[in-house]
Amino acid sequence: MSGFKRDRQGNAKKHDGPQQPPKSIVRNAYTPMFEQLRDELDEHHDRRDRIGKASRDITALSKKIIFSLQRVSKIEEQLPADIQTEIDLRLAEISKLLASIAPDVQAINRYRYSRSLVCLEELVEAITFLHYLKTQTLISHKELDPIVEDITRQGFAKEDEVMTSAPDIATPVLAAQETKAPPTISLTDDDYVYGLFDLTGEMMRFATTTSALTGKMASGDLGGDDESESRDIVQDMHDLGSFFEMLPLRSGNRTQWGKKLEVMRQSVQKVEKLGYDMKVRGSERPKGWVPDLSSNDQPGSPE
Amino acid sequence: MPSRLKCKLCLWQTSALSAHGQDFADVNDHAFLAIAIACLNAQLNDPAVDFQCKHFKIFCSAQCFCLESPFQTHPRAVKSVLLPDFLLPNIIPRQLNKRARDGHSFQMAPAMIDPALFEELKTKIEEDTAVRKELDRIIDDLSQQVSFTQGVLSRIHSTPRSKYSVLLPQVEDGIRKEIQCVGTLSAFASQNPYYKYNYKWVRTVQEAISTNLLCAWLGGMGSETRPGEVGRLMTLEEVGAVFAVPVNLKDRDAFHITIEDYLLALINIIDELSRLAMNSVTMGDNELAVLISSFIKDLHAGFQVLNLKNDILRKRVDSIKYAVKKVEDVVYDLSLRNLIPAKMDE
Repeated sequence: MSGFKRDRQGNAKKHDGPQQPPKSIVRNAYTPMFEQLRDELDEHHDRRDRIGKASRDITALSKKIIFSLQRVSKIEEQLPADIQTEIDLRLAEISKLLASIAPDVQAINRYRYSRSLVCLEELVEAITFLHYLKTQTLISHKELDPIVEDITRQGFAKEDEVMTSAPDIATPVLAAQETKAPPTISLTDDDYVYGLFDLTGEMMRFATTTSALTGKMASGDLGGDDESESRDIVQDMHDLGSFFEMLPLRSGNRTQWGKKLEVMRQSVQKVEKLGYDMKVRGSERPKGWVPDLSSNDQPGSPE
Repeated sequence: MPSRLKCKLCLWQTSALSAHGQDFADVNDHAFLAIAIACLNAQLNDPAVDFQCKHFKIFCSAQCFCLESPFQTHPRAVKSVLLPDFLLPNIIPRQLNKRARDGHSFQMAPAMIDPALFEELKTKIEEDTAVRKELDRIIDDLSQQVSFTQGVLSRIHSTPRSKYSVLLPQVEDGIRKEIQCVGTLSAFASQNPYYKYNYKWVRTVQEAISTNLLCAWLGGMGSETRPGEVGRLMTLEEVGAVFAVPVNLKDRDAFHITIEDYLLALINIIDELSRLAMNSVTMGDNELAVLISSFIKDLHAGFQVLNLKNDILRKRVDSIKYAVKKVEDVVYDLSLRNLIPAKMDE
């Protein structure tokens, strides 16, 4: 009659295992129906747990990628080799995790577990930031989707390599079918937009670090011989800021939207302040002067 | 009448502006001024125009322009000026580089954000908002029907069982209207991912299911093949059949009634029935109170079978025990006084 609560010694555990209803439960006309519903619900809970676990790991890995990227010292096509290796390693791990949950979030289940899949926001943040550091542009949702799909697919490819040892000859048809269309994970609009919001925070951090270390605002090195002609990150932050301000108010989760917007505004203003400082005082600083504390913390800038 | 651009330091002004003349009254940045002029001239395709005041010297051609500041107070001013919007379309394809003077070609870095990207995102958000508005409207209709039906159903607490034959058809009328609204909702919601918006309607749909379940339990919702009887519990599949929507969908993405919806609706009627147990005793129908008691206890046992996680279902299931206590108290009171009808007292 009463619940499944276990006593402190854990004795009750033995009779009250989740699969074994305690004897106190009377079977009645409705028991079979509830048992059937229980199995369905268990399936749902298990799936959600699996996704939640993978999601936590993916979030942690994405954050690590972002930390690695923050060690980059300027915007350029080719990341420093050591940082690129770190990122590739992390992405490979993310691949495996995404592949492991991809079958669980197909079709109708994509939105069902979108709350458990917050990791995708983090992943979007990492990838957009990576893209920005390489190209100084904002990646679009359309460009991002194939990247995430590709990451997922790589996770399957790795599993296949491990599996190929035995069942290769036995079930060639089956294997072919499976590899033909491995399920991939698609990004929702929310994943993308909220990932972009977080990107502004990372750009702010990047602008702060690089301007402190190099004495100038980070900017693309696309053709100009010195820092003069290309856009700098202040301009980009302004662009991104206006981008968000011009978007129509999201009617779904207004509070979250408002909060993110506020944080984004603060980031823009911080970078603005940096830009001002650079302009006013930056020119007084001798060119190439780097503070002492940071001189040994500059791994792998190629030149 | 467009005003002219002028340098505030030396009051030098240019007449090269016509259609795009702007008054930069608060602009005292010479670099800004110079670039603005250069842009406009470049746009006007004035070949090789040179301007010079004592602060700036501007070289301008159809292809490019550049400027020089003989007055070296602020070496960086040229590079970091912000241009007003109306100038941006002109300046982006142009070359803004001192090397341009020497005949080098230089591609201005493309803007960070592709304008198409913004438009795309904006459209998506607008579409999303439109869907939400339409859903709000449909759900509003449904919830009016639901609350009317609930209102009619609340009369069970003051209606003896003998009069159910009059009351229940009225409830069924309400339910028929609910069914229509759910049909509209189903048709519209199926155009979008089910779980994207379902949070908007779950409560209302659950209440609609509740009215259905309660009506059926009281003996309504009968059909030709199966007349209504007191104590009948509709299954999830039967509820789906009544509303003409699928249940527990897994293979495709469309509107449906989920297991959680059904279970939560069931808990709703447990509360209502526990109240009815008391009121039926007041109306002298002790037999109904005993019936309700055994039904609720059976359901309670049923819910114990579920493995619940810490979610809304768990919370609501925890509340069943109060309903159980309520009906047990009623039955206890009755049995203490030997008021339980003989045929049920075994």
